[in-house]
Amino acid sequence: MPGASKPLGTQNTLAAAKPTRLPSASSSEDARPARRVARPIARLGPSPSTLIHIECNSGADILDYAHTFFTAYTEGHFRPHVAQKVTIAAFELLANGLRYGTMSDKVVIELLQGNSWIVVRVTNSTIMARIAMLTEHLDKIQASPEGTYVEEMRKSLTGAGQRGAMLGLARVAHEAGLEIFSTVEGSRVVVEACCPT
Amino acid sequence: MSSLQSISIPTVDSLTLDIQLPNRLKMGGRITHQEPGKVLGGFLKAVHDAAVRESLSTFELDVTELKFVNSSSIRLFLDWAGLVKAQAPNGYKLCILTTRKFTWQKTSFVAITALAAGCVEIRMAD
Repeated sequence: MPGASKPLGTQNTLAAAKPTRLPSASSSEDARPARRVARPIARLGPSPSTLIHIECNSGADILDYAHTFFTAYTEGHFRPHVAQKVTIAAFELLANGLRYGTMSDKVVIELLQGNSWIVVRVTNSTIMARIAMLTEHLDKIQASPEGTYVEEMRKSLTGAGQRGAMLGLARVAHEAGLEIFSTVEGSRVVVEACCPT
Repeated sequence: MSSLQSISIPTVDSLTLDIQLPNRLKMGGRITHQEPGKVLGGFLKAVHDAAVRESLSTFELDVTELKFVNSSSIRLFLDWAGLVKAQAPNGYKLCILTTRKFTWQKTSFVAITALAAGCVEIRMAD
């Protein structure tokens, strides 16, 4: 629903971009109606606040610092359970962006607030194969957060699949209970997690 | 001397590790290391091996002071659960002492327990 999105700061193009659904390998998934219809940005209302905007290099070793920072910030601004959810989302989405982002481009993490919502947004560039993998994985997560979470754990336990790949996103959806959205424009991908305050 | 006493405890930023005899490991702080298996995998395997060597019936993992772990670190606990499961029915039961204070603990450990049913159990401290 790009018409309902409110362009924001330097992210105008991305904020207005239409959520992309890449072709799925599964015909049953193709048949499923698109679920990504209400982007978080639309929920923030006409005047969202940018609470945090950080740019860093892909691959930067900043996660420990980032966790300290987000924990301190969220505990100082939100109720305890909201603070924990936002911190999990910020950490895992940032870790994902740093791990898979193209080295030549910045990874941007933002915390936005408006109406009764907080949005954690991570923007990075990556290769198309990663975008396809991410999109497919988010489809699975949206269909069944808990099922995907357990499945990712099962893969780890049995040694199947790629360890370390997608448990973080499943965690944001199931453990923190947040909705996750993605938007793709070229090689640039935006992943947003939406948390009610 | 217990095999547990001879285990070398690694130093990891933001994390405390305390082996408490006869059958307890207390973890506190947080784990955000991108490859926690490299720094903690060997240690946890050594704890498991010692618990088996000592023929313990239960081993308690106290995470009530463990505020946060990243998704890579959840795999450490999964690996441990896998080791315990592989020993069943002749090994020990892993009892994880958790707290409601930290959101991540409930979902993570419930899933781990489900995947290693009968070998791992959760206890709430609060």
